[in-house]
Amino acid sequence: MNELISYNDSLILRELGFDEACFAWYSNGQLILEHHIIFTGDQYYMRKEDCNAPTFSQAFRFFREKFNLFSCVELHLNFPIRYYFRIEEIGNDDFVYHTEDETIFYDKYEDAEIACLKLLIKIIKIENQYERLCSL
Amino acid sequence: MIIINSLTSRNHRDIIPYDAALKIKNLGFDEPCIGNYRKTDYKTGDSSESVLYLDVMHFTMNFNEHNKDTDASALTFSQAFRFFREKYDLFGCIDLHVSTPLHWYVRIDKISINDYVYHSEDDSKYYVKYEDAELACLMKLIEIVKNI
Repeated sequence: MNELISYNDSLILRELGFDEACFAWYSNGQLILEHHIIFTGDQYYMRKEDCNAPTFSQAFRFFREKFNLFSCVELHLNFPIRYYFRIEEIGNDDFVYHTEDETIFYDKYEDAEIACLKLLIKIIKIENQYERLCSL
Repeated sequence: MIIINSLTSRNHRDIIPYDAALKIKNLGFDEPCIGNYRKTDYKTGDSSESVLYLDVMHFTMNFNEHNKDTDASALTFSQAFRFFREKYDLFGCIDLHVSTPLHWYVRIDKISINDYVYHSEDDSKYYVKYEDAELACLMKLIEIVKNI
């Protein structure tokens, strides 16, 4: 089911405050699709090892709307055909990260998408750690 | 449009509208989907609005295999864009234009020649919401393929 992000990433998104209704959820790593159940998004009553299973669209929207971070998988203007991604802070005329600058390219769109999501998570985790340190 | 199974408006945004789903079906989309659009509500017989039936148990169901002409698999935006990349060599991309006011635009590339075939800014089309640009991109992809 390649529409949904992985269990580990879903767990982290829950930690970061993702609380939208999803088509499915993970129970201790196992993907559960339940007939007639569309989750309200409230994960408060879930066990800590369980979480909603967002789609990639939902995950990227979450970062746009909650953290003001826009990401874009792009086609590299060269042959062979490869993909790269870019992360920008919305409203800021400069990008936060660009895989092309690191000469990192992906043969498959989906691989770029996964890598992009992991980096978005990493950026927010580092920001959160920094804020925690500053508040000490 | 009526939505069955109490899908919230938030995750409904992941699924493309009925009209687009029907057109993509006619372009050859036949993958498993989370739901199905039917033109007629089988409970009421009403066919004035399309009805989205969601059945997450059948995430692996290819509804289009059995659908009537007026019905169509309800695919996600991700699935739709992947379909155009893989079947029609067209890459649709939503990008941010940092200007005042900030807006989104659409670009469509032909993958094998690595050049763009459409840029919404050339048509002076700008979008305030990402989701509006996403839908416009999808409709443009459909239009391009229909005109091939």
